[in-house]
Amino acid sequence: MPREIVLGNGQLAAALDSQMRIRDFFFPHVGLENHLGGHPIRLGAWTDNKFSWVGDNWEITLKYLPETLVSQCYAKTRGLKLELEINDAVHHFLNLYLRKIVVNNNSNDSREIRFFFSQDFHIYGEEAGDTALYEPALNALIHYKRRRYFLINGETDRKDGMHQFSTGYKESVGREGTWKDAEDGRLEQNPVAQGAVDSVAAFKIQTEPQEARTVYYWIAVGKDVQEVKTLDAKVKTAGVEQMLLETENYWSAWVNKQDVNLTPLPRDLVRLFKTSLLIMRTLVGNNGAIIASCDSDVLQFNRDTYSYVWPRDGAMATMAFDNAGFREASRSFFLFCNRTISDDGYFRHKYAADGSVGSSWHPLIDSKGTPQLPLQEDETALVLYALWKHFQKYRDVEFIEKVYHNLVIKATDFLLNYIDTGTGLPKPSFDLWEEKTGTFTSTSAATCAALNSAAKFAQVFYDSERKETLVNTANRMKQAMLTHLYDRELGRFIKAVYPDGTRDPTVDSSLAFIFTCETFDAKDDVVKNTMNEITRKLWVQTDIGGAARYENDEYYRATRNVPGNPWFISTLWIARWHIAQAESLDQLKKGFDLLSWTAKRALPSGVLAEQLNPHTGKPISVSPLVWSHAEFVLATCEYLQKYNEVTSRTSDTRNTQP
Amino acid sequence: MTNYRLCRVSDVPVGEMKQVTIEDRELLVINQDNHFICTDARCTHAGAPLAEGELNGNILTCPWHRSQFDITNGSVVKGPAKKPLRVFRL
Repeated sequence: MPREIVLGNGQLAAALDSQMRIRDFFFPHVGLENHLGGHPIRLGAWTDNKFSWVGDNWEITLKYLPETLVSQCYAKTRGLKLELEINDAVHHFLNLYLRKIVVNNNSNDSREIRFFFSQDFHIYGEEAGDTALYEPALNALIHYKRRRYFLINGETDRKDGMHQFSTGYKESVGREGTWKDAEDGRLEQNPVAQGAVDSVAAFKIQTEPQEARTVYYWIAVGKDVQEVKTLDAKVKTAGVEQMLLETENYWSAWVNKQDVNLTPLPRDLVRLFKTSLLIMRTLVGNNGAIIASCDSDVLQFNRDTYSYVWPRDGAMATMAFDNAGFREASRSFFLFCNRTISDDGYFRHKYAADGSVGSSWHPLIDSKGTPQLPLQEDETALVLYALWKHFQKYRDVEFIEKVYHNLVIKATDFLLNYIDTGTGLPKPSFDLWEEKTGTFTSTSAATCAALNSAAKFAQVFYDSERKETLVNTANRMKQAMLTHLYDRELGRFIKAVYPDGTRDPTVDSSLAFIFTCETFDAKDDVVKNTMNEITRKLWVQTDIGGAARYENDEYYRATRNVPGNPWFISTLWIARWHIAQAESLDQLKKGFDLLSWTAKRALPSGVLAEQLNPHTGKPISVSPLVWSHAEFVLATCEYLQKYNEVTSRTSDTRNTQP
Repeated sequence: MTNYRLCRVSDVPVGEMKQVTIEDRELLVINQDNHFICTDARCTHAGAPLAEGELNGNILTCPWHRSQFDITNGSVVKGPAKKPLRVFRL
């Protein structure tokens, strides 16, 4: 089930599914230690002797308050004659999850309404060894294990605290969990449970006919009991209303500091541009880690998630942040990379959010038993390329100096040495889709870009000898791409050459790297031919549309009558190509239309999934995916830049939009 | 008095609103039956983007806390906003 709302402050992050249940709860890193791991924190309501968990039988809409990381959700049930307006947030710097529920009593009777909040923590990602207890001094519940504490509390708009509570056991024979205890509208007041446990907190309000009342709920998160008690006291002093307002204002100020003039864009694109930046920000940890996704429902391979840092995805996100004028997130990511790069000068497959090497399926030997590096070389290359793009925009020499020797020099030396001297192309490594080993066009284009970036850095630091070596090597590699990876008969680039010499002619959307990495000009015939073939072969001919990743893509394949499921990133690469080669507003239209397609296919909250069902348009695989949002931001920035160039050059005044 | 070009007439269809930025000032252009109105783009209560609000006749509702303004003169119809919205001559 996709995550429709993601919230976070760089240390605490949470994600809600389409049934308004909190399903992922990360602390102290964004992406590491998921204390729910998909198990829900859910909300139930009881009135007129009837109980219902907010979910399937409710009409639910989930959005964000515009320009914020505060949710704007509605839930309505005819059965209970209730309508709820809910705002959720993670406070912008305190480790507090905040929820405000405005309850509309749609009945013509005075009624008592009770709300039940069920917490199913799996602290540290494990169900065993937790404690849930009632704290009478605070009239609160606390879940804890070792150095992780979660204090649950709340109040009504008339300052009434928790009405009832219970703790209990789950996930063992005959014990579904304490949440079942709530369904009769009463809780058993069990004050403590240890092991595999859960808890429920209840609040009650008395409402007049058609009256609106408010209930507040919060979770304070910390590493010891005093920390969460202090946070609890802060909420009680300031109030949830004030803290929500502070959080709204903070994120609105944050997202509006971008230095891009959005005036030429229609409202739906402005909205998605800002929402994308905000969603990307929730996936950035305070230590610079940028995780691919916080959605733990989708397991990539063998029960592992997307909650890792792929240097590639992080590099794409930093390029988007930098283009939009957000240099802090990028800087912290580059410092993260500076800490994590291997002594040999390359990035491993992926990293956990604390910087440790992540789980991997890349073997250290190939099928013949020959040693190989567990490497996707484009990841190392793209970080260097993104760092140059960062410097190109901000010219922050002092910052670059911090990472130059450990990151730039080390990675560049690795790339220089990881070249097949016979062909001049990179030696084999895994491709960006993590499926095959070989020498790929996308990897080669990224490596060329990295070598050119390193050459420019060398020029900045007056290392002319190094610059010359790098420029020459990059030029040789570019020529080698034309010799070995461009097929003159097909008139386009091919996907790869494998170690046994086999050529893979598959049309793959990642061939777009030849121009997105600036290795070839977007108007060059070799690019035009390749991109035209991508558009022709990979466009999904259904009502949903969009571009598949490559021909016969089997990953989560929904149907056989399309080349593969449409992916946002693949579609947006086509958009970026149209934008890059446009010289008039008319020529910009194709790119604009694909930006609009993206906005149309986003979830109502603005979340972009990895891929879509080609017939229903429903999200497939993780939602959100940081890379999808990054490509949208990049494409939009490039569109605006080209729009300004075209209109200032031609004084084209026919229309704001092409 | 300085004159500014905000946007093109075609940028704002009837019944629509568009936020524009002029010299770092965020403004809202509203097309009400081909009568154009320009106001500040941010709610006077907490700074919400009014371009994301709802326009119903003369009444503009803030998307965050539901303050309401009369766009013909900027007056507050409903709180929590207390200060009126600035309206500019077009």
